[in-house]
Amino acid sequence: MGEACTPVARRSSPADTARTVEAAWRRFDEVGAGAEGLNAFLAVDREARAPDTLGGALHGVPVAVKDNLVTLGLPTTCGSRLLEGYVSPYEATAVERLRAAGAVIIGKTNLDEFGMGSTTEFSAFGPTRNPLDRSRVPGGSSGGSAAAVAAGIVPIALGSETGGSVRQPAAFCGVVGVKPTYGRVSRYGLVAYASSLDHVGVFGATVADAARALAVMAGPDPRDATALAAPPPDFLAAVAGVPALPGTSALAGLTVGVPREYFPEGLDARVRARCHGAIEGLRALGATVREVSLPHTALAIPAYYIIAPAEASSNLARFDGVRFGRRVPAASLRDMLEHTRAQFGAEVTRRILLGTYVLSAGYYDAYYRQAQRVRAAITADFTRVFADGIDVLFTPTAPTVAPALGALTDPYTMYLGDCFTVPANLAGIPALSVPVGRVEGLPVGGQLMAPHGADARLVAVAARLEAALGREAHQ
Amino acid sequence: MTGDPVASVVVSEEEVRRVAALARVAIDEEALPALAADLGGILAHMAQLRAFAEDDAPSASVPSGMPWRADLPRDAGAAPASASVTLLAIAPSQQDGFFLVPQVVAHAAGHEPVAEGA
Repeated sequence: MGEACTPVARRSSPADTARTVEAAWRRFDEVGAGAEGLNAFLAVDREARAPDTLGGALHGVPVAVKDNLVTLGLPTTCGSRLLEGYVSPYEATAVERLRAAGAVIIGKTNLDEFGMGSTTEFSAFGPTRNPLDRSRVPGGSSGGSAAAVAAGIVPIALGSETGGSVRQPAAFCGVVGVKPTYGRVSRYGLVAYASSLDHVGVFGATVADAARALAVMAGPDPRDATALAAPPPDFLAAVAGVPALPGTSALAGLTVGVPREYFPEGLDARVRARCHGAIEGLRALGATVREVSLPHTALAIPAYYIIAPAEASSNLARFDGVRFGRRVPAASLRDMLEHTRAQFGAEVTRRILLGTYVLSAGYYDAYYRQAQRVRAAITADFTRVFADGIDVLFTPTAPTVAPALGALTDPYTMYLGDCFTVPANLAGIPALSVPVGRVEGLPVGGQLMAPHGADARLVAVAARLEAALGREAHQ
Repeated sequence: MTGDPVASVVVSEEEVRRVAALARVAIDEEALPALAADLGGILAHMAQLRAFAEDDAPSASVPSGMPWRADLPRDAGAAPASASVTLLAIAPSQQDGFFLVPQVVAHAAGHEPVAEGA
């Protein structure tokens, strides 16, 4: 744990991350995390202090929160002009539990508007830049949170996922990103995008950091009907005493599945090489590695980009200037509604229209119903391989390293970048991205996926892989 | 679009106007061509879903589109029934995990209701 005085690009390891509020602000200023620099934060609270009561599991730990989780005392904009200046009268369960554990919420982080995007370029308040190469995107939609952790400002940041918005930016920024099982962390206070796919996720400088946050946040919540009723697993035990050194048998008895559909011919050769290195690392820890097939993987993107916009078109109906959103006055009610909602940015508008289209009379069966059937098939693929003796799956998190700002101009090309992360959201299973190396200074993430509910297994395997790969994977 | 809705993916500017009106979003006239092209381009890719045939439908017990209702895996222990399952059990009428309610919205002539009885 240091004071983190090294430039971002030369930060030597996750241990350099600031772990006190004072150090976090020093780091914030050193790296220029504000609007003129990384543009990682949309609001900050420089007065925030650790609670007087000692003993919380995260006492005094600075934490950043994605700006689509509602917070008391700080605005929640969702990266949208529509919600500029909005302050919620209540707080998200995940944030409430972090504060109760002594965490200090230092600010709200930038995101693609309402979580719709994969680069953080669709924020109404300008793009976030990747701390490792400021000419590149940090990924999205939780790009601000990923950048805040990667820059060494905070060891823990909250994100949210609908199709990979934690894991993909974690991969692009060289940090750890976890999407737990659907319902493991309450969605109460997470502004809804696509409710059947939305998750609260977490970024950590290390797997252990992410596990510490999950240990505090996970668990039933009567205010979220989709929260799992089962008690959460012991995340701290999963990362305790990780003995991993290359050559040990820390993963003896574990069977890792490598799905061939996640290593297509078009995969960036450098990403493939780093992932194969990680697979060798798993073998060196004693794991058995087996190739498997998830045959409906190629249909995940079209299914997702029907289901998610369909749900979004309904969820975002509340931003109408009556219930929520800055009203644009007009002569008639109809004009007021339409001009208020015209404040949505380009990508949100595109998805609302797409969702409305696929749900409209005559197209529902061809698109939405078919997409739901594909979703069930993708879920069944996972169920089958896990029932067949696979304990965890290993894949690349993203098919490329972080692209340059402005490089993705075609919407569908951007959507394809989510091809490896979307399936876990469709199936509701836990998944995680951990750094597995770098290509010309840019991080590559490896993804682990586990059966529904096996969050602790996922974290335990990732912690051991992280330890085995060592500092090099973060550099 | 007419006929097989997935066979043709040309989205007209008029269709964008219609969908925007349904979604209560004002669209500038000059933005219509680009939006129509974008939506048509995206929907063209969605045609891949046609490759998924009836025979491919899984026989898994997980209700379509609701994987979170699947039983927890072997290491998670038994979970109590979720609130949604409890509610469905006392619903007057249900189908495939959804409540069945009387239809309250009429559809314009020439348009079929989205789902019978929904």
